Amino acid sequence: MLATLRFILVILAGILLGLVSAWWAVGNLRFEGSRTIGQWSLQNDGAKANPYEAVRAARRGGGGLGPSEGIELTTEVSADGKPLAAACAYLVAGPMPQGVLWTLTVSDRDGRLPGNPARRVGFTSLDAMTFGPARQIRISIGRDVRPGDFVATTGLSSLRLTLRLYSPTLATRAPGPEQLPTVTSLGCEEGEAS
Amino acid sequence: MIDTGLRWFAAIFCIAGLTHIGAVLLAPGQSRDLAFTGVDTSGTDGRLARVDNSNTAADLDPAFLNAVCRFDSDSGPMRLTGAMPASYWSIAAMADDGRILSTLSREDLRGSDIDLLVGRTAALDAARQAAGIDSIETMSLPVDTGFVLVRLFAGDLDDRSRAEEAFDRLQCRPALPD
Repeated sequence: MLATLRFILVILAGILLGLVSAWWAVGNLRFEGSRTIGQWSLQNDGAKANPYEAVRAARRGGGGLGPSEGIELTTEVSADGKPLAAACAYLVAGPMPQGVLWTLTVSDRDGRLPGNPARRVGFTSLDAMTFGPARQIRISIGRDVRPGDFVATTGLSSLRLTLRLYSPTLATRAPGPEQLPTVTSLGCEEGEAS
Repeated sequence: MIDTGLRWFAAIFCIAGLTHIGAVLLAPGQSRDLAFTGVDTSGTDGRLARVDNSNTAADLDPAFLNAVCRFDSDSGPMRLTGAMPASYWSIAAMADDGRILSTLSREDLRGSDIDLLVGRTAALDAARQAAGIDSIETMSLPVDTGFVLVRLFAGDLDDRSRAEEAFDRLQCRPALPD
């Protein structure tokens, strides 16, 4: 009787440990197999090489970019490595690869878009203001309206930025960190860590 | 006693390892948010079904208009035809779980007219012969079922209305006659 009970307990403990470790390995950013460029992570829905990447792609629901289309970069951390918080304001500033159609989308970590009256959820290479000979962008993100290009994060409980670069050339030769903008904190609302 | 304890401990780790591997390998196929499987593509009469964040969990670019066409073993290879506007567009063939199998963009097709045959590698030649098509772009896939996703940049209101008109004119029908 005791041996049977112990046998059942061992099986249950093994299954539980296996499921918890799988869930943890898939969800832990430290084990993310995707390549990083500066603070941006390169998403790959092809996911041929790594079964963990296939699970992450399935969790994102698919819809990512293939090699003939371009590359998709995401970040959930600021330039100083702190997680992005919906209650904080950020500045996305710096260069973008030249001559490439790009879009920058603000969402939460589940991909839900902000619900602001302007229906503005991001900017593209066609509507973002650029500055200087390097055509650098300056886009503010936060709950309080700021001058210039601005996306309100109304209704979001977490924050993720997705930068899509539509160029097959960049899919084979990804841009360096010096060709991409950085995300820096502009401060947080009272009670939130900056 | 120690031997017995170690044996149980080893057994737990073996079962945990097998469960871990099984869960990771099976999870993509069992995901409840399988790309576009929840999108109703019936009754579209050869037109593509529009998708956005209201009818799919797929992570799509909101600056684009997106539409899908389903292919399966019953319908055989699909033929996608139509004319696209001058803005950026691309076509991706995806498995049911959202994995991208093949992609084409405006640069690959070198023009605004689309005439594309999509399906399993073995069925494409048969479909080409049966339909009497000699020269046509093909997307050769390793699966029988999945989706063709067409993305069309619609950055401003003018782009959006042109994109909607282009999507209305796109046709996606079985390549083999009934």
